[in-house]
This record gives sequence, C-alpha cells and structure tokens, in this order.
Amino acid sequence: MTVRPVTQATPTGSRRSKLAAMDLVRSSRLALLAAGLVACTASESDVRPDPDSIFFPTAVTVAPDDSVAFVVSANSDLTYDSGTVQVLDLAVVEQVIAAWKSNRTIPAGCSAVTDATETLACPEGDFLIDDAGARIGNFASAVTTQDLGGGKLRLLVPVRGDPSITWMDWDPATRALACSTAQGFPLCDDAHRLVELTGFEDAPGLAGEPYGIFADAVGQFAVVSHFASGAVSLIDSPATGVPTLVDALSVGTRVGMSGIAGRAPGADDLLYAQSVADDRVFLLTVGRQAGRPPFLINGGFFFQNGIGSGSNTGGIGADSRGIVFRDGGDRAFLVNRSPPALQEYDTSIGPTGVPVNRVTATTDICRDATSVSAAATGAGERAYVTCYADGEVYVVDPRAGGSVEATALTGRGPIASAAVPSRLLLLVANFLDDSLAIVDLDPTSPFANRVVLRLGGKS
Amino acid sequence: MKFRFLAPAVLAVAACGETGTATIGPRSFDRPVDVAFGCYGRLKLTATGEETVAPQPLRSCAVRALGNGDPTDRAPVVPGQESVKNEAMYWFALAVQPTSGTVTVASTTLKGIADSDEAKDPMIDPPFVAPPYNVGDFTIDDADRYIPGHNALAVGASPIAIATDTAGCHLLTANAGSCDVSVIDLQRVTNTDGAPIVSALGLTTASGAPLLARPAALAATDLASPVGVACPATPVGIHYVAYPDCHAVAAIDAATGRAVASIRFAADGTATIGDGELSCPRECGARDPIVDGARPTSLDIVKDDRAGFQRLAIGVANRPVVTVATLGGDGLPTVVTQIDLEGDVGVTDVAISKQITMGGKTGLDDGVGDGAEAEFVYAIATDNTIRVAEVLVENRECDTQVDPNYLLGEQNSDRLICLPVGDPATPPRRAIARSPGIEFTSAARPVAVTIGDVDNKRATAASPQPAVLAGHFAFVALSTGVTVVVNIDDDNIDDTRVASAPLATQLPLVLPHQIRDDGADRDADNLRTENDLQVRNCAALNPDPIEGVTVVGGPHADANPLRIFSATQLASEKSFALPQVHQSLCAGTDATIPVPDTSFSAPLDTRLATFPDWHAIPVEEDWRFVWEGLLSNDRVDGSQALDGPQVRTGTMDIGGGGLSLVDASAPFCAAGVEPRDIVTLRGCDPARGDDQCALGETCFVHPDATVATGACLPKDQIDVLPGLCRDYLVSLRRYAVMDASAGRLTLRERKRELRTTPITGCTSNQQCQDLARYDAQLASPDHPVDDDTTAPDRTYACELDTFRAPAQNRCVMTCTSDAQCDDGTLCRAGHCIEGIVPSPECAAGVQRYDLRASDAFVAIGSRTGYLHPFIADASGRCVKDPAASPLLVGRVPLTAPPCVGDGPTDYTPNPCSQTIDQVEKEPEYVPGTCTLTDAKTKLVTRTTRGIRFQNPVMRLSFVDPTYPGDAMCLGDRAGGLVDVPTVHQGASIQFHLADGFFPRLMGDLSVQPANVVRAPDGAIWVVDSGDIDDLDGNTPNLRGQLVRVSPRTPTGAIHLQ
Repeated sequence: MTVRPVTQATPTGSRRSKLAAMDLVRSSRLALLAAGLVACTASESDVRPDPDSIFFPTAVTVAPDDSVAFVVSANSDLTYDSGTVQVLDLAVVEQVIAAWKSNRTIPAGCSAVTDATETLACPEGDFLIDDAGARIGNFASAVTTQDLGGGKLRLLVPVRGDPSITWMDWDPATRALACSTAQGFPLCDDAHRLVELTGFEDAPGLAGEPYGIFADAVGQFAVVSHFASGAVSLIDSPATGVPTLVDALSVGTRVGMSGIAGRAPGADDLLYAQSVADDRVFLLTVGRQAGRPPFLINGGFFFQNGIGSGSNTGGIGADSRGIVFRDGGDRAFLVNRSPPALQEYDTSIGPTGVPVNRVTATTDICRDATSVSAAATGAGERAYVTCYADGEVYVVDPRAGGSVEATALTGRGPIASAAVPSRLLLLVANFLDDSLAIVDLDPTSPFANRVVLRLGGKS
Repeated sequence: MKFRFLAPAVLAVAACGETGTATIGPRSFDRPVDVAFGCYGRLKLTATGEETVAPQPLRSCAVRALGNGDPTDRAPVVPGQESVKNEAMYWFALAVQPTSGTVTVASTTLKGIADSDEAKDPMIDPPFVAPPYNVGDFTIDDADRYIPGHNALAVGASPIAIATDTAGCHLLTANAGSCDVSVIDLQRVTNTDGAPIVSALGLTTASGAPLLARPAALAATDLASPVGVACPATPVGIHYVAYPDCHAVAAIDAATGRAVASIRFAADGTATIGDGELSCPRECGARDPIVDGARPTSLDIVKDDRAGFQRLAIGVANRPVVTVATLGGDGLPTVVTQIDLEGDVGVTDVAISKQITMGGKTGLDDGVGDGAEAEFVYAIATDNTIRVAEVLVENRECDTQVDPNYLLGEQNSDRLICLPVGDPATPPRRAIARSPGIEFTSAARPVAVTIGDVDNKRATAASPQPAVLAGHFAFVALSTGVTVVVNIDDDNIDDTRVASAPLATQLPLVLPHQIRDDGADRDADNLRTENDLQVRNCAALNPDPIEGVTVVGGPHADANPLRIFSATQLASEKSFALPQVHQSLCAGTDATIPVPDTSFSAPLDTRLATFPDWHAIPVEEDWRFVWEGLLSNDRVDGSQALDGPQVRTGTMDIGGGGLSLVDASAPFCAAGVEPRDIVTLRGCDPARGDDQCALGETCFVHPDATVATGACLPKDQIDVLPGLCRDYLVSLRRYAVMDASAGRLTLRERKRELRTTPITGCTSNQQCQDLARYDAQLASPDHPVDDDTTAPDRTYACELDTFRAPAQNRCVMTCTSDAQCDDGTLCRAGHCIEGIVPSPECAAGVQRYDLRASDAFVAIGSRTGYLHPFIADASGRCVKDPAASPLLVGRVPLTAPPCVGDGPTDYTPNPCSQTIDQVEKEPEYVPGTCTLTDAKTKLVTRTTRGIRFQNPVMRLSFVDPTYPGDAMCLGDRAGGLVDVPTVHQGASIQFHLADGFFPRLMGDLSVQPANVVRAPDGAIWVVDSGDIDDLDGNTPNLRGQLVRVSPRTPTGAIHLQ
C-alpha cells in the first residue's frame, strides 16, 4: 500500500468528508489561506503534532491489564495537521504518584501546584511512550479497545472530521500503535479508516458525526453512535482479521445518538444506546447468519421515567450522555443532563429472561455532564461523572440510593474519564486546557478523590 | 429586633392560601439535601422575669402553632411565656447544601392558633387551626451583606444532614467531606454581634480518640430542655450519627463531640448497644481500609409525649432489617429491637411514627380511641417499595399487599393493623405485588419518607375526602418529583369495610398502609334526590362531575362496551352473534334497561364484584379484548410502552425442514408467548419504500401476491430470489409456535381452518361444509329466510390438528392446488397453509414479526398491559411460574373449565365457564314475519353460558361465546347450531375505564427530591436538590428549592427558591 503524504487529516472527497462537520474546518482553512497571502506557508513539519503534547483531549481509555492508557487529542483548533492517539505509560504514572504521595518527590520538570497542594504538575511528554502514538483525523470523539488476546489490543476511534472510524492495533511487544506501514508517529492510512460500508453495491458512506463507540471483544464487533442522526453503525472486527464497516441502523429517534455500551460481551450481547434528544434508551442486538456479515437488529427501548419532573405516571429523564455497565452487565450507570442526574439501573436478567431495566438509585449531579465511568475502589464502587462546565468530576457513591461523595476539581472542560482499577487511579481528559488530570481513587489515601497528578495543560 | 441577615426584597409573588414561589434575584439555594428548623423570638427568662430575644426549644413555637394538648386552650403557649405574643416569634429553616458546603437560611413569622379567626370565636369548636402562611411571609436571608449576590453560610465540606439541638440554640451539620460536625449558633445567625456563626466540632470516641469516619445521617434527640432559660454556650443533648463504614451509629454528646454510646452492627446486620469507644476507619485526612459490613445510612427519631418515650429507627442500606432503639431520659439507647424484612433488600431511608391509637373515624384519637395501640417504621427498601414494620406489639414486618378480597368480611380493625409477613393466617398477596411493601404505580423510586399526624376532622360527608387528613400519614417523595400520601391510620373513616357503605369503605381506601386515594364521592351511584324523591337514573353512564375534581365516583366504564369487528366477516346487523359483556337489569325511574357489569349504573353488588380491588385499577385505562390479538398494545410513537413493540425484529433459523424465529433480546417469555400462538412475518410496507429494510435490501412485492405485503430482499439478488421464494412471498407468512423459549420460537406451518369450527370440535366433513355456508352467511345482513348466500368454492375436512390448541378435530381447508385455497394460503399435502418453510435465502437478515394469541381473546389494558404468568426456566424455556397468582392471565378462550364457586376469592379455575342469566333487549317481530313490532325490542332474561375472567383489575363474564344461529329472522336464536363461534381474528370488545385509583399527591412537583422532613409545626418540607435550566421558557430555572406543604391544606405549596 502506498502511503500518501498529506498535510492535514481532513481530506476532501466524497468518502472522506462530511460537509456539515467540515464547516469549521473549511472556515479555518480559509483563514489559513488568507493568512497565507501575506505569510509563508507552513511546512509539513511545522503543522505536524508534537508527539509529546496532548491537545484538546476528548477521550481516554485504559488497556485491560492497566499497563498503558490511550489518549485521544482532537486538534480542535486545527493548530496541527491531525489529531493523535498517544500512549501513556501507567507504570511511570503510578511510580511518580507514589513518590509524590509518600514523600513529596518532585521529578525534574515537574512542580507542585500552588493552589492545590496535593497536586503535582508535570509535562505530559515524560509519561508518553516515545514513538508509540499515531496520528488520526481531526475532531476525534471517543476511543475504545478490543482485546485481541495476548495483550494485543485494537483501538477504534470515531473521527468526526473525516468522518471515519480509525482503527489501530497495539502490540505490547513493540509498545507502539500500528495503523500504517510507516514508522514513528505515523498518520493512519486509508486501510485503517473505515469510511464506507462493505459488501454493498453502492457502498453507503459512514453516517455523519460518529460519536460514541463500544467494542465487544467476545462478539468481535464494535458499534458506533452517530450524533447527527438516530443511527448506529456496526463494525465487524474479527480478532484475527481486518475490521470492516458492515451495517447501519436507525433505532427510532431522529437525532443525537450519544452513549452506547454492551450489557455482557458475547454473541448475544444486548446493546444499550442513548440519545441527547430522547428520553428512551434503545436496545439492539447483533445478528449473525452464515454467509453474510453480521447485522444490527432493533430490540425495542425503555423509557428513563424514573426521574425528572413528570407525573404520577412517570418522569422524563433525557439528554443522555453516557452509559457504563458493571457487575457483568447486571447494573448500569446512566448520566443525563435533563434533569442532571446519575441513575443506577438494575439491568440483571429478570425471571422472564429480559433485563429488569429498573432505576435503583438517582443522584443529582452537575449540569453539562459529559461522560461516566466507574471503578471498584476497595471501599465499594463509585461512578465518576465528568462535569464540563464546572471543571469537576463528581464522585458518586451509588449505594443507599446514591449520593455525591466528593467533587474533584480536575481542570477546564473535563470531557471523558477512564479508571485504572488495579492502580486505583482515574484519568480525566480536560478538553479546554490540554491536560490529563489523574485522580487518586485509593480510599485509604489522604488524597482520595483529589487530583494528584496533572499532565500537560495550558499555562 | 435586629437580624444579622439583611431582609431581602419583599417577595413579589402574590399568593392565595399556602401557595406561591419565593425567589430573590439569583436563586438562593444550591441543591439542598436536608433541612432543620429553629424557633426564635421573644423569651421571658424564668429566673429573672426579664424578656430577651433568643432562640429557644422548638416546642416553644410548636405549641403556639399546634396547641398544647388542651382542646379548650385558644392561645396555647409554654407555661411562663404567656406575655410573649406570637408576632414576636419566628421560625427558621436551615437547609444544608453539600456541593457548596453551605447552609441557606429562611425565616418566617410564627402563625399560632391564637392568630386564627376561629380561635377568636368562642362558639367554634376545637380543634383550632393556625392561619395559613402566604408566600410573602417567608424571607430567604443573606449571610453576608458585603458580598454581592445572595449568600449562604459556609459550614464545612459536604454537609449531608442537619439537626437542631434540644435547647434550640444550635444546629449541627454532619459533614461527610471533613468527617466532623459544624455547629451553627442560631443566636448569632440573627444578631450582628460579629462573633462567628459557625464553629467546627471534632468528634471523638469516649476516650477522646478522633472519630474520623464519614457520616451518612444525623438525628437529634429532644430532651425536653426548659423554655425560659438563656442559651447555653454549646449545643446540648444527644445527637445520633450514622457511620456506614464503621458499621455503627454513634450517640454523640453535642456539647463535647464525644461518643457516649453506640449501636453496632455485626456483619449479618445484628445490632447491639455498645459504649462510645468506637473503632472506626479514618475516612478523612489519613485513611484506613474499609471492611465490608452492614452499613447504617438512615436515621429517624420520634418523641412521643403521650407514650412517654423517644425512639430511634435505623436503616441499614445493605441488610434486610429495620432497627429500633428505645432511648432513655438521657437520650441514650436502652433497648434495641430488630425486625427482619422479606427478601434480599436494604433500607435507604426510615421514618418512625408515634404510638398510634388505631381505628376511629372522629378525628385524631390517640389515647382516647378504642382501637389497639401500634407504632410503625416505614422503610424505603432497595426494591423500590416501602416496607412497614409494627414495632410496638408485633415486632414484625406487615404485609401491605394482602389481597383485599380475602379481608372483605373482616370487621375486627385491630387485625388489619399489621398482617404479619409469613404468618400462616395472613392471606395471599395481590397478584402483581412483588414484595410485602407499598408499591408505587410508576417507575419512580421512593427517595425519602417521613411520618406526620394531623387533625383535620372531616365534615359530614359520607365518603372519604382525600384532602382532609386526620390521623397519621406517611409522606413519600418519589424520584419523579411527586410526594405521595400513604394512610397509616385515617381517623376520618372506618378501617374496615362497612356493609352499609361498601363503596365508601372499599378496603384499599381505608386499610392502613395503603397509598391514599384521591377520588371524590367514591360512593356515588345513580340515585338522585329530586323533589324530595329518590330517583334512579339507569341511563347514567358517569357520576355527576365536581368542578375542579378529576376523579369522581368509583371505577366504571364511561360508556357501554363496544364490539368491533370486520364487516367482511360479520354484518353489522348480526353483531349480537358475538360474545359480549354480561348485563344485569337496572330498574330505574327513567327506564328499565340492561346495563353491562362495567357500568356506573350496574347494581351495587355487581360493581363491587366487577372491580374488587380499586388499588389495582389505574385512574383511567382503555381495555381491549381482541380475538387472536397481538400480545402487545404498545404504540410506535412510544406513547404507550408496556409490553414491547407490536412489531419486533429478529432472524429466521431455517434448516432441516424446520423453522425457528430467533431474537437475541430474548423477549418471548416476557411477551407471554404460549405454544400454538401465531407468529406472522410482517415483511415490509411497500408504501414506505425501503425504510423498513436493512441497508442493501429493497422492499419487494411479488407480482403474484394477493394479500401479502412486501418482503425485504437483497438488492443484489433481486433477479433471483423472487423466483426461488415465490411461494413464501405470496403467502400470509403466518406460523404456529410449537415451542417457546426466551430467545427462540420453534415454528410450524399453520393450516387454514374454518372459524365456525365448533369449539368442542367438529364431527364430520359434512358438518364442516355446512358450517362453511354459515360462515359465509354471517357477512350477510339478510334475515335467514331471505338469505341466499352460498358457501364459497372451498372444501373442508374434519381432521385432528395438533398445531392449534386444544388439539382436536377441526374443519381444515383441503385442496389439490393453490387455486383451491384462500388468498395468501398455499396448498401443501392436501391442506391450505398460511405460510411455508422457505429457503434460507428468502428470509435472510432481519425479519419483522408480530406475536398473536391463538383461539382466545387477548386482554390488554393501556396502562396494565398484557398480564401473563410465564417466566423462563433455567434452560430458558418459557414455563408458567408455579408461584404466579391465578389472576395473572391475559386470555379469554371460548371454552373453559366450570367455575368453582362465585365468592370473591374463588379465583380458580380462571377463566372458567358458568351458566348465567343475561338481561338484554331482543328484537321483537310480528309473529310469522321478520317485521319488527312498534316496540321493536323486548326485554328478556336469558340463561346462557358465560366465560368468567378475572385479572387484578376486574372480574368480568363474557356471555354467549358461541351463537346458535337464527332460523328465520335475525336474532331469533333458533338456528340450532351447537358450540359454533362467530369471532374472527381482530374482533374485539373494548371499553374505557374511568375514575380508577389515583394517588393523593402533596403539594407541587419537585425536580429531584432529596428528602422530606416534618417540621415542628406539622408542615411537610420537601427538600428538592434538583438543578434544572429553563430551556423551554416554561420550566423554572432552579438550583434546588424547599417546598413547604401544610397537611391541613395539602393542595397548595410554598416554594422557597
């Protein structure tokens, strides 16, 4: 395969761009063009992302063995020619945090934060694995990992700027992401960008605004929600093969698909998909028949009517922003903006064979929540809600009906988080200040639920 | 007097009674979670006789508002304070806000009994009532005049609870973020002496070691501090703090912060009284590991002056137990009692009542009534029900879900106080109860509960008046923002069913521990008094409306049931041939007519028997009984979503001559599919283009198709598949279910049969041919004497059919070619079938399908949904739940076993068949002709067969499951046919139920209630932590609020925002 050099990651063309999503890109480009009239054109190296920097991070995920984390930078101001996926060495993170917590050791280049004495601030480059990352399109929105076995992982990243689903494989032996034949912070090539459905005569393109993503390692598929429509896309992702985009389905709402997750990995995984414009949670399954690629099947929906000012017949919980399953799929945390609430649902299989889907805890949270993650801390389970406007993470104890245990100031624009269970850490991507905040989840730590390490950040 | 807080601008919202919204510029609250109260004002010091202005014990204000127990005292005050006027007294409400670590303070002047007009009139009987508050009476105070905006008191990190000390001078907040307590000096809140308002109080064990566990709840004892003494420098009394991770509740001396006693929980939840030497993990600052165990997270204390005790209730979040500690005069626990709850649940909130004299109907009668004494704990369980435990006598959990039909004859109200869970003498539960606890009708989760008493003695009306509360009640805040009233002991009405007033005393309306009903005039009937004469209006379909009241009278169908059918199957002139709802005679002043059992004008006994448990009847509901109907009535637009989509999607598994429908979402047991039910593959609607097809597919309609819709076929095979799949594509694609499991239905080809096949089976081919003609005649409007309709050119054979239930001889359409079969059916092996097993390519990919019952009416309510007893067994197979109530049925067949008994609890068999007298109007003909007489009809009572059906909502009899046919004229019933049905797929009986059960709600809606608290003056305060933007211009822009409701006038509310 020929690697075609490009200087920006939002290439034009019917398969690669989406007009609505590209408006910002185009206007920015116009601005650059205008600037170019009076200034020198930037060279490729000038606009190449700094491999040691995080810039407009929008997503973070952690390898199942907690060895590394993958941080997605969206390049939202188009400073560079592409976004990135970078690899954070969590052993180094834990080591530095441990030394900081135990005897206030400050590594070279780092400093104690004056207005948050429990926090150490360091440049992110020291924690990113050299030459491990990859470059992707602009405006990536999420990331998920698919466990391929033997420590190998597949990352799938919805990229709104292309739009595409960009995928890359992680090999712990090489400690690098592979999505191109090129080496050293490569730009993912066309073969690693899923932009159209395969197996169709007229090859429909990927639906607009890919937003949320969930990968099922057992079922060997991934599903993508689309923010600009009521569509969900299906990726067939065999562990030993190449992922392909194989189906798309409208679930029954017009717009704003957001969070998406599977209840219990496997061939019969029941997928839950949320919407920002609906008070329903949509259910889907993946069908498989011999001789044809897998396909999506609508499985109905349930209302989020356990919260919200409604009536005696039920409330209205809407503008959903994230969902995460726990306990093997028997419980789920759902985060909503209207009203601002974290809900815990009993999603265990009931006597009739279908999930109960009943709210068991409700907690008032911040406005403008953007995501939810969860972790067992050793003192019970907690849910972590990123609060974009407040710059906080709400730590919610779902027990006894749900209560806010703590609020951690993380930085500007926290947009996504991921727990590192074995290290009792929470990684928080702060979109607006280009930083990654790392929260101590150890319930025995005096810094519990506080940011102990901040990587990067605008000064 | 001088307030440290600046009084803000006068609240602008005018109000009528206790309603209105108090806001000041920017919102004053920041998501509060708890509220406590203070009493402040002029105080006569007993020692010196001087008057000062100071905080004082809460009862100083409460006595003025509620009375002192002397019903003749029109100006009650605490002895020694007679010189102090009510206008010199103030209530304070202090709300904790964990997110900001603050307390917002609101205040109002006290309104006492002496201020009421009634109290000034010596001719008016007690009890007296304090005048209502207006929204303008309340002030939300600014804690710092020098900082812009509207400021609250900063108290500590994550305050989660607040309580007033026994002297009334200090309020304590439990701070979960700093594992300590903050003390608010109420005197300094109100005065500008510059001293700190808030101070920190570190808690310690008995020996002085820091107690740094994270608190989850706080409750204060009332040790009867004297009124008339100056405030002490420090708080006084015992406060209880729940420490979930310490598995203990500590009794804290508020003056020192030292734990002086404790109630400790073993891993299994067993509680013991211990000393104050607690060993708790540190959870603030340096921290210790947490050991799993029982987690007490909720507390409530009741002080009962009549009974002379003070008791503490404790809820453990992860153990099925309620704990009650009796407190001594020093506020310390003396005895601890525990009540086990049924099931694997925890308790997230508790409320404990006073000792109640149960029974009575003449107003609050504690201590003077004849009923037995009882005391209750209401506990919110993690199964979203409220569990009730009687903690004075029985010390048992009470079953609040006993089927009231078993209690109809119970006249000993004491026996109904608490029907113990697990007691062999306790009757069975309601059919759809999931636990012994009180259930709510929506998906809402009960968030908080409190218990209060109120004495609003009823006027002279005979039936319950929902808004007039006298007795003891629980107030439950639900996650949907409503607050529901639960009757504990309604002292305005009997607690048993009164034979002379059975409608007014329907058991669900009067039993303890039932959600309070909001219906008015529940005993309304069609009797009226006109010109001093009683007249009965049999034409009345509904009770007389009451202006402004939604629910009036008892449940009934607001119109006579409709029979809906296809004109191609049955002429409208022959609708009488269909089954119908049983009718009785109504002999009225206006007319003597037959009325259906569902009617408002049905005889009283019929109404009671038809709707035996009003609690199970939604406030309004459409009921449909559809022959071979869909197992779901859900609407595509989501406006009704109970049983899953009417049209689902799955895949077909075809191979080895077999056919299965597979759905990975495993809906089949939940849907209630039974063997022999009908699966129809719906294909697609060509009018919608390819919308209903997957990507790469097109909606294809085979040119040979006559009745079938389209089918989604791959575009790239559209040249090949129509030929290969022709027979499949032109068929009805309707199959019989042979075996059902949660995710798979095994299907078989379904034969075309004559709908007039006798329900007891056919006897001969000739009989089938004769019935085929009768079948055709049913669509003719003509009298039989004039009817020359011939049978269609079809042949039938009387054969055993095992693909329908019951397996018996049926009239099966036979053939030698497709041309001899009805449209959409195909000739296979001599029989016309409704769908074939196709090649796998013909039904690849996603298939849309629906599920229908076979040979039965499907009973579906628009709110109740489709009820059935099926669950999935360990292998996933759909089986009848052996524990299911016999009332969990959703099908009415045309044959059923004979009924056994006619009593209210004679539930089995269900459905059952019986002989019954049916009253109806028959056509009346001039003898020897088919010409109607002038009267046209005559009233007859006819003994016929009926199928009795009972579900949790109603008991109905459907009469005439079959029709004998007519000999000469329409409706003469002289046709001589035996057991011949006339129903066809889709024929239905429908009615709309009105005036069912509707819960009594308190006050207005909240956004996200966090707590509900009873104030010392008896008001109920809903603490709403909800945070919501005004996105549509109609929603209030809130960051939490306090909603105050007076139980005396529970319709309105005052919102402090």
